[in-house]
Amino acid sequence: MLSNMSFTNNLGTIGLTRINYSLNHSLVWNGGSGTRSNIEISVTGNVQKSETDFFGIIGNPSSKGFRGTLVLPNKTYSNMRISNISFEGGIWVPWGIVTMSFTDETEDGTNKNIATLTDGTSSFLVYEPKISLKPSTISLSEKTIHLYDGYFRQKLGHDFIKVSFNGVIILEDDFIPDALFNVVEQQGVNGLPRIGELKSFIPESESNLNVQKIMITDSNLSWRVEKRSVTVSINFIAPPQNIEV
Amino acid sequence: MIDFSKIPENYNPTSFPVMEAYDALWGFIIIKQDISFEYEESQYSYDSPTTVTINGTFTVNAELNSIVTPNSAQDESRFNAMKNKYDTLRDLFINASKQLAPSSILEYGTVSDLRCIKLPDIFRDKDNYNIYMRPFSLNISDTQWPTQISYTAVLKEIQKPACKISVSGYIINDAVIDIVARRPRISTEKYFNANSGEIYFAGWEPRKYKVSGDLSGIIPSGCIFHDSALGLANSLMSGMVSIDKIISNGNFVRVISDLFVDSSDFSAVKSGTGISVNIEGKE
Repeated sequence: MLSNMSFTNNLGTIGLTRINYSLNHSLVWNGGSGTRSNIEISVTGNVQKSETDFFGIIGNPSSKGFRGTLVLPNKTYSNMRISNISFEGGIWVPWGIVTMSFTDETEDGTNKNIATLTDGTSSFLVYEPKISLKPSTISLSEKTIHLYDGYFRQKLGHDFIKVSFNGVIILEDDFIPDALFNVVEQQGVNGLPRIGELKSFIPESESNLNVQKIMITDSNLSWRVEKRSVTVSINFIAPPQNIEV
Repeated sequence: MIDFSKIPENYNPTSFPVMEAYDALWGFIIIKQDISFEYEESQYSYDSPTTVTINGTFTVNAELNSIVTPNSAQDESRFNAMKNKYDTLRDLFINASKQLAPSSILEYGTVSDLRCIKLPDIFRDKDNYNIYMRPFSLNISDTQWPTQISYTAVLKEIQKPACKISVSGYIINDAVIDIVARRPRISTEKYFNANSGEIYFAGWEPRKYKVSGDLSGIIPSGCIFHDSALGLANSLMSGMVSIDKIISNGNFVRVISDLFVDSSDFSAVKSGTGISVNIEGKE
């Protein structure tokens, strides 16, 4: 039926019938170039009081809900974030009126904004990842010669490359697994820090940020125990080099 | 989570719909339920606490069980009947705001949770049990004294946390544990006038931890600090603590053993009910 909708995520499915809905696209421009679009969807529809499946996506702390797929008559939207459900007060009749709202700021689900952190044995998904790069540039010393109103420059050598990476890891349980410590405290042979290509730590970097002989210098974890999530922040260092593209 | 399928259906399509939900404590009521989805920093996973708004009305007809015609001689008794109903509800709300969280997270949002009020009996969960929620506000506006009092009450679901952190037996709420991972002691050396360099490695530094959050408890009347904060402060005198988590079945599980305490601080606001705690240490 054309006038129905459904939303499905890891916890279940919710459905409304005889819906009215509104779609709002807002386009994001960065320095004159298009970067992405946000979408906001609001649906008002009807649900039968006896439809207990309705409560399937609500969840509780032992079963976190994730983003899901929204099916509307005109289109299917993946990676949608449900933001609110509201039941009106006059729900004394067999069919109740429910309003639900959804958003997605990741280009209709095509860019999920997720990276991976790995030590080759274990892997963790890192949400909202941010990566920053300090490339290898030449350090110079300058010596001013007053007599001639001039100065020398002397090349001291190239700086080390520094990469920082941070994001959020969702924990499946209420503890930090040892595997995560292994990933952020990576050791190689003879107890030395593991040295490898950046892609061996963050596979997504292979496409255009492939730094060689890189190692972790320090990692910080911020574990929100009751929310079951960890913010990770990792700093890498590598010898001077051109970055392979 | 309220299951609306449990609400009695008084709707008769051949006549006007009749709402007959009367509760001795709450009066005539209708209910609105909002579920907000609170996302983590990940923007990917959510918790979904429910807020319930009850619009209730105490009427003379219901409370005095009679149709009362306007008569100034009856105004005082009518007023008192309405006022008593409202006062009973208000006292229940205010008393709940003075209660400590239960010692066991198993009791959160149950009849044993003294912070909670039972919703009107007709509202049940999916398993047909009564629902207990934490009250947040009770408002009266533009009501007609003394013939009726209409109020709006807002209550929120208490979600059972996945676990709680305990330091030396004292529960830290909304705990955040910051961990500086074990890291290499290194120094770097650039090569003069060259595109290369060396990294010197000199062993590993131990993991460091910082636990922060709010200590459970209410500052006793007439005091400026609360007892559990002093108890925890004294337990840190030994210079070493262990950190446990209390999991959903109420058991304690060791998270960090024998943490050497580097520093700690406690801060309290006289009028507040919580004390913030920071404890730093290393393995």
